[in-house]
Amino acid sequence: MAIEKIQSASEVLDAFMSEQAQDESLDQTTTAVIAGLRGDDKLTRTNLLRKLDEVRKAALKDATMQSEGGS
Amino acid sequence: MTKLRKLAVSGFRGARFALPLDFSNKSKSLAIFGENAAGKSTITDALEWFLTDRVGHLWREDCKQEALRHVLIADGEDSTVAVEFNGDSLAGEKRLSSALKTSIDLANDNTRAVVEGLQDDRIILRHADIVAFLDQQKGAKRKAIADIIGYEEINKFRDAIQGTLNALKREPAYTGAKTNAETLAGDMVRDVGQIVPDRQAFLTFAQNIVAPFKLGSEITDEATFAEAVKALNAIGNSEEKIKKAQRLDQLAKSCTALAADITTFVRDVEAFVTSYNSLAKERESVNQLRLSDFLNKGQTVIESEDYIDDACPFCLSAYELGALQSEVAKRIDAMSAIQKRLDAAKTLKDAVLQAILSIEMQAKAIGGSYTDVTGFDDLSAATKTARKLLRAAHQGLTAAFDGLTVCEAPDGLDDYIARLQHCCETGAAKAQEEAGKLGLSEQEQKAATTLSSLRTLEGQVQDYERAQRVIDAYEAQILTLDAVFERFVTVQNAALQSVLDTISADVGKFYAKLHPDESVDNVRLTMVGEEGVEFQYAFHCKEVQPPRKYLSESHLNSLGVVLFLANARIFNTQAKFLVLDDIVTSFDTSHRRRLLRLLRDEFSDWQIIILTHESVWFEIIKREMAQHGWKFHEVCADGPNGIVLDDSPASLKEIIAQKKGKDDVTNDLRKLLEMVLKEICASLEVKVAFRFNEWNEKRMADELISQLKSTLGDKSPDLKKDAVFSDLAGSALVANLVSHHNADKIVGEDIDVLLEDIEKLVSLFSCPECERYISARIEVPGERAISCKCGKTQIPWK
Repeated sequence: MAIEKIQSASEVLDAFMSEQAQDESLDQTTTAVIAGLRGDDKLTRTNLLRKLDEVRKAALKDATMQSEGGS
Repeated sequence: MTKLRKLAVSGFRGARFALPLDFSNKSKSLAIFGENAAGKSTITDALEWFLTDRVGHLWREDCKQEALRHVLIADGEDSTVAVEFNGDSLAGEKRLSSALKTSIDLANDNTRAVVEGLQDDRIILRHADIVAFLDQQKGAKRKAIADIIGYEEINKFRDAIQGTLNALKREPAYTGAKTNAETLAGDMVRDVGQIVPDRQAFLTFAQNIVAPFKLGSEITDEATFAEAVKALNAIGNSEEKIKKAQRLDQLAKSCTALAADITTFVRDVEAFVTSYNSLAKERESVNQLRLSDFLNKGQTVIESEDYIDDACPFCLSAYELGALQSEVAKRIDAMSAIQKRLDAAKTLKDAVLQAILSIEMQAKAIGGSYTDVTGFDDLSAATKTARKLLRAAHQGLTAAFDGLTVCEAPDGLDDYIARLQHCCETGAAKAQEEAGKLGLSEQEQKAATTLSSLRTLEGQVQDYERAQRVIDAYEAQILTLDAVFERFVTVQNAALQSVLDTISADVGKFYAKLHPDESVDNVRLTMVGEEGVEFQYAFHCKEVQPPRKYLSESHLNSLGVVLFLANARIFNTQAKFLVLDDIVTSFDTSHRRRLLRLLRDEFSDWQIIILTHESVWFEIIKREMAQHGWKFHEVCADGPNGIVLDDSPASLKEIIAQKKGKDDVTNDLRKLLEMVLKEICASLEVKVAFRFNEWNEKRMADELISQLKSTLGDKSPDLKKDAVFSDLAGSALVANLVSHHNADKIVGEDIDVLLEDIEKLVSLFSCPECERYISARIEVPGERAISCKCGKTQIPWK
């Protein structure tokens, strides 16, 4: 029997993440954080929460400076 | 792909001394027979331990390394398992010392790579493992399939995304910002009749409310807003008085709002404490809630039509079923009531915590933002003390609820909250009184009120924007994670379905080979809901799942076997050998034959090792597979010496080659003669006395020769006169072997003579062309004769 090639887990995830990276409706910083942690083999709930917290704090700092600097 | 060449076990499990298995350089397939408790599983256990460092069925019972050493092996002597694989110098030996230390020597890095590759492959199937998968829940089946195909990484990814998403949605900074924004929106609607979401909207609103003052310029940006505020302050005679009136107006409003919130807060706290503390005092009842799922599932079981036993299905204690149902229903009702109370207490707790945060913020604003307004020192001091106590109350309440302990307010909280409320009420009155004393004209009063409204709104908009920025930052991530998760579930399911389809193709095909022409068809694995995998099949053309619904135990075993075979063939990357340890216990003879043919047809290039305790099955394997180059061994337990391995003759040619010249072949010759006679008798339909089960197999040569001659006397009298019968009857083999335990040995030239006699007997009734025995069922048309399958060899037959 000719066995159709079964995608490995890594192949499935690579293809999926690459598709998400192209999607402009998503927050690209978030998808980049996921991809980065996965690349480092450190994608866990705790690590992802920490990275997203860092990203949020940086974004809020910028937004606050822009907003309150403007008013 | 890897096969076995040699496996040598010593001092391990049932093997006290060396137990060598030689599969030859051609890595031949092998069948091993051994009675129950003969120790044949030692071979399977040894291979599993060598490859994976554990033996699953022992480890599950918490019997570990100490169970691997033969009980009589000397201290200081190692248990060893040595394996040689096909290929160039691929070998290794694993040892277990008397101190239960494991060590392994592998010939080279290539061997290491082979062993590592074998660790992930499906190699060993034991009877106990066959239906393990079938008995799993759908979710566990899905995970098991995911594990088989190495999809742990996918599960890990999915779990990380889902876990993060759920945690983000619950983060206090996010939920707090949302509540804050809602409160501010409500305040804005109350104060100015609309939500003013940002600074630009605020400037537009400011323009609208200052327009009646006809200030001469329009508010379009920050500069024009500053000019408008300046102009409003300048209305009338006293800019300072307007400013003061505006500040007093704001303070009065803030105090009034806080006093009202404190009233609600005190009422909510009382409701919470009453409701929650009564629960905390019934801590044991609340803790019982963890049994809710268990009891609900139990209720489903004992109320199903299938359950009719007067016993608890969990502990099997005797219990009248009706009483058990009633008791469980009562307990579920009681738990449901407790759950409702707990849910209500949680709602009240959330409201109280939110109120604490809100009052604390308002108190902070009143205490810190009106330093320019003098004469309100009591109010300022009350806010400071109350804030400190409110923070402690927040922590205490959260900890009490999480720990299910009685909630007590910090000492003095009630008094200080009451004092703060009193100060707010008197402060509001005083601020209004002070404002009245300023003696503002109507126009000045309007300007002061407008400025106050703008200042309050400005603060609300600023806070609202700040909260909104936090919400936006979270929601960008939450929405993305939500979308990623939802899409990934689809992708994951598609990937899993593709795998299931591939497995199903083989499972369906193999199952149909084992059970042709039966009412079960199209057997396959399918996704069930979002989280499950289940076998599905057509039963009398109707789609059915799960397997246990209609399939018998034997069919379920078939399903387990074909799933293992399909997975091995599809997913094994290194192993080209399988060990099937006692897997056909519930199969009848025809299905055993079909299994062999499945192995022969679909796994012809694989090395198969079959272990069995059933002599009938072993004989079937010999008959079917000897011609395909299989080897056969028997193991038996030799008391304190442990298990012993013997060759098991499968063909005349093989026994001649293997036994000639060896010390004692008496037993082999006996078995060979019996086997040949049994085959001839079966083929010629010789009638023998009825015997039960294995006793039927233990007929001896003298009986078979006698009955064969009797049949030949009726059907083919000339053949009965053949000299081979008298030769055999007078031989040492038959004469001596009236018992299976006769100790007399046949040695020297007698062996050759006997082998020649046996060959003569075979040649008398078999065809040199098709190598099949002449069969009483194949009558030669037009003649009183029967023939072999190809028809080229015949004998007269009345």
